[in-house]
Amino acid sequence: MIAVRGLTKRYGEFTAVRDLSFGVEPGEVLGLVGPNGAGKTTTLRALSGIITPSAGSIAVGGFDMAREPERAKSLLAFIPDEPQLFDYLTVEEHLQFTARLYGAADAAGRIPALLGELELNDKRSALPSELSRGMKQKLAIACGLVHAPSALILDEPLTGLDPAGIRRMKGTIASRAKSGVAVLLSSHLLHLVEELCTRLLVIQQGRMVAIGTIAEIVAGRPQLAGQGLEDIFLALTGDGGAPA
Amino acid sequence: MKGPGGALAYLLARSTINRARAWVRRITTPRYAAAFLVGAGYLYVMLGRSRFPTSTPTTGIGDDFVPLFYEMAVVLAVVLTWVFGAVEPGIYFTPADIQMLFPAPVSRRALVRYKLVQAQLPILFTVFVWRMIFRSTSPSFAPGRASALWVVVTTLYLHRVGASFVKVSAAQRGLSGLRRNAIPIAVVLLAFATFIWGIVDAFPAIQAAFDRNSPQGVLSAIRSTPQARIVLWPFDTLLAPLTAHSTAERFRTMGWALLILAGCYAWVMRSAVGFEEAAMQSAERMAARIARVRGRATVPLRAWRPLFRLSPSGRPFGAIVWKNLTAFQRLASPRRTIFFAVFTVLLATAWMRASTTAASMITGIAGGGIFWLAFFGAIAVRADLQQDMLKLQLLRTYPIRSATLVAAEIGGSLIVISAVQWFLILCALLGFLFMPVQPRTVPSALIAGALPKLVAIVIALPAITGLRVAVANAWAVLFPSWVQLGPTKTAGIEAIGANMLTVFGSLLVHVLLMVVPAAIGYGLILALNTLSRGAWAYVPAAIVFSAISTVELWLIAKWLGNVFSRTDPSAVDAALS
Repeated sequence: MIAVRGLTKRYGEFTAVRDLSFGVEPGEVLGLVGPNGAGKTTTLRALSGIITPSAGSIAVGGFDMAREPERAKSLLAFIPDEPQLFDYLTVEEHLQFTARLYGAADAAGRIPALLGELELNDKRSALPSELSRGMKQKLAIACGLVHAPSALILDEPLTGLDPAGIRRMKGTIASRAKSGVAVLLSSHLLHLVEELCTRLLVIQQGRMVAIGTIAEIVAGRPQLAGQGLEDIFLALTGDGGAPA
Repeated sequence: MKGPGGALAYLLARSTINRARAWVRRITTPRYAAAFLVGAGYLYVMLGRSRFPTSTPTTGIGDDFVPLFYEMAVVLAVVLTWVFGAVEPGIYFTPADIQMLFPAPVSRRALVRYKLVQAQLPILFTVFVWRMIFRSTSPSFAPGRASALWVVVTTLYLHRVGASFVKVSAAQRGLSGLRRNAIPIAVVLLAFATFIWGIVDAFPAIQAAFDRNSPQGVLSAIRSTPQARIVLWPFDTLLAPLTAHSTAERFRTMGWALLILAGCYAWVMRSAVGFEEAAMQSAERMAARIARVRGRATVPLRAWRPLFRLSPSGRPFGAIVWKNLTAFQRLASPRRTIFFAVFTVLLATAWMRASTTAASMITGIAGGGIFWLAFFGAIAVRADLQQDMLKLQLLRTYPIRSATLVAAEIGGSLIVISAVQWFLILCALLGFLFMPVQPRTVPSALIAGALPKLVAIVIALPAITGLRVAVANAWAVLFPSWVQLGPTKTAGIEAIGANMLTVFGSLLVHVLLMVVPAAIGYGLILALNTLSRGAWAYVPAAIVFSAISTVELWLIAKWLGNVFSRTDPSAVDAALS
């Protein structure tokens, strides 16, 4: 569903992402992990069509992001860690607006279900200024799901959610993947990644360090056998992470 | 300096230095350098030449009227502080101050001292601006007089802080709080009572001045009483160095003024009450106030029902236009709308009454609000990329062609402005038809001469306005750091320069864009006039003008769409930093 080949993004002399290639199949949840400044956000922004790669290609559902951006984007949903909402649209209007943009004519029946699933029913007529941080995050998630995307890109999706919201969000991601949606999830919460992701993509300084299931990653590095994901991550990224 | 005092001094010094460095870094980047130079030039021209001419330039602000004016201003400031001053600490603690300094082992007095020193930066800036304003007409407004002004401003600031502490103390502790501040309260009450006593004593003289219709006489009668002279003594003493006519006189009077300043400082330091809780509430209020000042979007919004319901199916173009129209509708407060409606009716009526012929009426209307909207409406309405550039990342994820997105963004503002323009024309027309202005001559004159021009204006206006909105949007995409994006607002010399460059630059581009369509339209008028089409020649000319402008608009949207799709979100982030 998502195919990335030789993705490179340069800012002047600085290369944020270097020759990154990977794919996400329908029904798969790929966890994107890496230390701060590894190039995760740049990768996600390029995948969702926010920034243009300096080199390489991105295809979603077979549509090239450079040549057919509208068709590629129509299959995608990007849910950022910091929800970006329009100050002057209510919760329900956000969903109607997004549905129209993505040409989701059948969204009318999906909107009430989404409002219920994300506990936004009571807030359907509220403006973003009347919502808490967690509610805003839920609305951003609802906007991402309203057009039933084939590929879901999530950047720290649990930020701002309460424990019940976190459990519900995990269920939402898992159920979407089960229904055939390709999910790319970036998070620093390694337990979340371990729980939800079928494969891992570890990047550091813009380069791919490892990709595969945890078993596949460990198989190529016998010294990591028997270690938890946190230790594997720290070993792969070369950060001892020893407490001071 | 050791201990917390040293830490606060370090905080103050580093913050000032880093702020200055950041500002210098900002204004030396190419995108701000030009704006800074233009802004600095403008300020030099405006402030370098005083707007306050005096009759005797050599003495400048030391004229007879000036001491009285200053005295009244200072008395008023003091009275207002006590009567209307809010019950909150007169010193503002930022959220960072509250979070970092309140839990730290720092005494209240040290905190107050820190804030008082911090307040010196804006006070010194105020003094500098006044010095610039009075520099040319008052050569004697030299450092000596500037330092006298500094004494006055600082004393007033200290007085405001002290008075606020008294109020906070009274609010927090009730009677015991009042007892704690018994001396300052007694001084204020005594001064007030003495002043009233003086007015009662001088009542016959005041009455006589009133009868003579002489405000100066009233003031003179009040000020000449012994009681008023006692009450006004601290004010006159404080102001004496500022209004002194010579350096020697200033030196002689400065000591007493400094003594009053020192007294206020001692009072503030002594009465530093438990201001923490009030300071936190004040910080929250201030944050809301700043948010309100910075933008319309942060004004509490009402979720009014949208003008029309968005159909779930259809072109994405419609969704963007709907979003922007809804935004404008919700951002336009009822008060502002009523004000605009009243203003419109008054304006139209004024034009109508002033007009004696249909032609002059049409010219008056066209030359007024309608064309103001055509050329400047884009700055006021902003239901387009001037607002949405802040959502660049979100917009870029939408499955919509960039050119279509840009066109839809332009469309939002264009619809709003055009609707207002047509409403203005309708108001004027209705008013004209029903007002008793030469009723018998109106219809024929209207039909013969003005109606074709009016129709032409109605046709051409959206094209003119559309080009202006397109230019404003292009400016927002190309120079995000020079434009007020959404609710953001920047301050400083470079912001003044950026505004000037934006307004004049975009106006120039707008005019240039209209040259070709206007020339062709004018050519058509000349050609049709040879066929004796009269005033009706304006209508096809307006249609041609609009058609060519629409092609230009389409080309701009296409080009701007390309630029928009290539714009890095970090450029917008940088513009806001």
